[in-house]
Amino acid sequence: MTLIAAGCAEPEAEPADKGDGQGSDLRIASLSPAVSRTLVDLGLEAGIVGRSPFCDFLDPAIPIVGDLRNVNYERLIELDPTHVLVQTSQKGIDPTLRELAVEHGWRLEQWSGVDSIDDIERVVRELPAILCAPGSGELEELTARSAELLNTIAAALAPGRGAGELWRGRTLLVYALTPVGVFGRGTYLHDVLVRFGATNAVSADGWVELTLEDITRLNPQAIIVIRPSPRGTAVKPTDAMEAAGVLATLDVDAVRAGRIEILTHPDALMPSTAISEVAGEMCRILRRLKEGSVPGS
Amino acid sequence: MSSITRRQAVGLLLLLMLAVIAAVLRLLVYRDLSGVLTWSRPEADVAGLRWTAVAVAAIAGTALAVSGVLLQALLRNPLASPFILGISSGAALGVMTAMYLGYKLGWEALQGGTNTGPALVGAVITLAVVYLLGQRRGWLDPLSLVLIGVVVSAICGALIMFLHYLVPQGLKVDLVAWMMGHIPERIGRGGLLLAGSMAIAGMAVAVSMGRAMDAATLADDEARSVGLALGPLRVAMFLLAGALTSLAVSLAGPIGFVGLIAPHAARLLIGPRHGPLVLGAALLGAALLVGADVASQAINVATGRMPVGVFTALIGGPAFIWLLRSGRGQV
Amino acid sequence: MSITVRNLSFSYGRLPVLEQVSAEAEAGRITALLGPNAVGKSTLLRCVIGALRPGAGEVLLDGRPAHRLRGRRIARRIAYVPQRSVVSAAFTVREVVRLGRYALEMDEKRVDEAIERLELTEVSERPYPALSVGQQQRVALARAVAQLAVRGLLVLDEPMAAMDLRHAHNCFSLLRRLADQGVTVLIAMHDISAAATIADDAWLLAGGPPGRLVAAGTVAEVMEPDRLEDVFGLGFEWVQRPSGGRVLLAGTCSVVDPGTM
Repeated sequence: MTLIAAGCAEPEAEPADKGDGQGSDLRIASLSPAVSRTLVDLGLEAGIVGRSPFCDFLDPAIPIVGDLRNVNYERLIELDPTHVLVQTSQKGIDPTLRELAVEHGWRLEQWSGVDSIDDIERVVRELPAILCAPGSGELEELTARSAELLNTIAAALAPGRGAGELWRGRTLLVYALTPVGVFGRGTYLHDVLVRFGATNAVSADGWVELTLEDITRLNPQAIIVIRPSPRGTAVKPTDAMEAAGVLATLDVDAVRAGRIEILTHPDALMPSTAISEVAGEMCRILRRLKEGSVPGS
Repeated sequence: MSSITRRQAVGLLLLLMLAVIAAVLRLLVYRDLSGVLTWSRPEADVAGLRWTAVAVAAIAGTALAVSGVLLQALLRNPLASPFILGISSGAALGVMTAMYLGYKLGWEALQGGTNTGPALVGAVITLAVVYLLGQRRGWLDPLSLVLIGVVVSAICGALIMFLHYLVPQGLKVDLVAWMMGHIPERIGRGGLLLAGSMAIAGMAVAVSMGRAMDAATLADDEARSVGLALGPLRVAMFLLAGALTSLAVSLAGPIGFVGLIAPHAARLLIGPRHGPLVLGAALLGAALLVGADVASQAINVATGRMPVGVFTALIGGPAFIWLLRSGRGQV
Repeated sequence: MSITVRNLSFSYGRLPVLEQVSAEAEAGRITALLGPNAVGKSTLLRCVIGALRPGAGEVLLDGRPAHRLRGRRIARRIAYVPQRSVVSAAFTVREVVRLGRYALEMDEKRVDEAIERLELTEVSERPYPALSVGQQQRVALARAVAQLAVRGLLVLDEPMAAMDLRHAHNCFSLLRRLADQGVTVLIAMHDISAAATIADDAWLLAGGPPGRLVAAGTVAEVMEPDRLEDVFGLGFEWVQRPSGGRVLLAGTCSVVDPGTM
C-alpha cells in the first residue's frame, strides 16, 4: 500500500514504511529529471540518494538508479530509499517496482500526464504530504516552501510584467522539425505563452504534428523554436533562421517579418518547476519580438 | 532493349495512369486541422508544397522499386528488398550518430537540421562495408551479400540502440519519427533536381541492363557461357541498387515494402523480362509512395498524420502474403 | 574446335579433385566423358568451358587457354548445358531459349529451329518453372543449340538424366547430326551403354579424390570390359546386334539362344 494519492493515511503493510517524516531521514530516489528539478527547487537536494541518468544538474556523485523504462533494481535496493518518485507520461506503474516497494517499505509515487502548468503546480502542492508525516514540523516547513515556490512560479508567469511591452500575436511553439511538432493547448509552454498575453497559432490540444501546408495555412506571425542547449555549455548566439530549418523557407508572416526566435533553456522540454526560469526566457523573447529586433545574444 | 510486347505496353500505360492518379489526388486532397477533408486545387502559396511532396514521393518510390528489381535479380531471391543489404540500418545509424553528436557536443550544424546528409553518409558507408565483405574470390557473391547484409543490419541496429539509450527523450522521439518515414514538402531546388536526375538516370541504366539481368537468371556457369560478364554485372547492379536506396532513404527515411512489393506486383502486369519490368516497377513504386502520402494526408489519426512508412507496412505486409500465397511471388 | 587438356590438376580449396588429366577431343566427333559419381566429371567440364581456372596444367580450345575467354568470345565458341539447369524467373520456354542468343545477333529462326528440334513447340509459351525436369533439360539443350556456332563446342553434363527414352533418343540423334555438321561435342554420361552407342571417342576417369584419367581414345579402345569392370566394379560385355553393330551391356547377362528354349 505504498502508492498514495495526496492526503491518504499512513500505509499499513509491513515492513514499516520508512517515510516517517524525519527530514534527515528522507532518502528519495527520483526516476525523472522533472521530479528532481522540483525537489531541488524545494530545497530537498540533500535528500536525493538516487537519480536518473538525465538529472545532470544534480551532484554527479549521486548514484544513478535508472529511469522508469530501465530501473536498476539492485542499486535501488542497495540504496534503500524511503521514497521512490517518478513523473512520466505513461499510465500504470511498473509491477516489479510496485512489488519491490511493498517488500522494502518504500513509498512509491507516480505522476502521469503532467502537461500543463496546473499539473506542475499540483506536483509541488502534493510533495510535502508525500514526503512528510502529517502534523510534523517538517511538513509545515515544506508546505511553506512549497507555497513559496508556487508564488515564484506565479510571479514568473504574471501577465502584469510590462504586458504592453510584450508580443501578443499568433505564435507557433515548435519543438521538432521533421516532422514539425508544436505545443498545443493544455501544454505548459502554451500556458506560459497565453499568460503573457500572446496567442497560440494552433488551437488543437496536446502536442500536435503539422505539415508545412498546415503551417502555411495557419500563417503564424511569430515562431519560437524550443531548442534546449546542453547544460554547462555557453549559450552561443545562434541564427534563428537556421535553427528554424525548413520553416524559414515558408511563405508566412513570421518568416517575412523575421520573427523567429529560439528558446534555449536546458529544461525547456521538462514540465517542472524550472518553468519559472523558462518563463523568464519566454518573456525576454516576447519582448524582443515586440521590439521587432533580430535575435542576438 | 528488346521490344516491348503489346501486353507490356498496356501494362505500363495502366501503371502510368495509376501514378498520375495518385499524383493528382495528392495535389487535390487536404485535411485541415479540424479534420475536414477538402478536395480542391491548391492555392498558390501551398501548391509548391504539394508539388514538392509529389516529386519527392515519386523519386523515392521509383528509387526503391528499381532497387528492389535489381536486388531480387542480383540475389536471385524474391524476398530481397532494398533493405536486405543493411542500407536502411546504416542510414538510421548515420542519423542517430548525428543526433547524438549534435546533442553531446553541442554542434549546431547537427541539431534540428534535416537528416538527409547523415542518412546518406550512413547509407554509403554501409554499402562500402557490405561490398568489401560480400566478395568471394574477388567477385560479389549473392549468398555472401545476403549474409553480410543481415549481419551488418544487426550490428547497426545494436549501435543504434546503444546511442538511443544515451540520448534524452526528445531525441529518442525524433529518431523514431524519422524511422517511420516522412515525405518532405520542401527541399532545396538543387537537391530536388539532383535527386530526380539520379532516380531517372538510375532507372535508365537499370533498363539498359535488362537483357543482361535476364541472362543472369541462369545459373552462374550457364550465364557465363551465353556470354554474360557476370562479375562486372553484379558489381554494377549492387552499386546501382545501393545508390538508389541511399537516395530514397536520405530523402524520406527508411520506408519499407515499396521496394519489395512493387517488383512483384509489376511482374503480374508486365511479366518477368527485366527491361520492361524496371519501367513498370518504377511507375508502380512512384504510385505506391505518392498514394501512401495521400492516405497519410487524408486519414485522420488522433495525434497527427499517420507516418508514410507505417501505412506502406500495414498495406504492404498483407499484400505480400497474398502475392506469395497466390503463387505469384516468384522472381 | 579442338580441345586439348594437358596435365590438368584442380582442387577446390585444399580438396584435390582432378590430377594430371591429359586428353584431346576433335571437331566433328562426339566424345563421352565417363566415370563413377564424384570422380570429377563436372569439374573437368567446367575447366573445359573456362569457368574454372586450372590449378596446374592447361585447357586449350583451338590452342587458346579456355579460362581466358570472356563474354562474347565464349558465347561464339562454346555452348554449355549443365547437369541441372536453373532459371530463377518465370520466363516462357521461348524466352529461355532466346537467352542463348544473349551475346549474339538475335536470330529468331535459330530459336524456332531449336525449339522444334527439341520437340518443345507445344510448350513454347508455357512458363519454364511449370515444366517437368525432363522438359526443362530439353529447354536447356534447345538454348544451347540456338546459341551454337557452326564449328563450335557443345559441352553437356548428363543432360538426358531425367528425359524419357524417346526424348533421350531424339537428343542423341540431334547430337549426332550436330557432330556431323562439324560441332565438337563433349558429353558427360553415366549411361555407359548409351555412351558406347552414340559416342565416337571416350575419356574415362577413375579413382579419387583426386580423379585421374584412366584412358582416352576411341570408344573401342577405351571401353574394354576388363577396364570398365576395374573402374565401375561391374561386369560389361560387348554384344553383337542382329541388325548389325554391337552394344555394350552392363551387369551379368546371359545371352539366351531362342533356339534352345
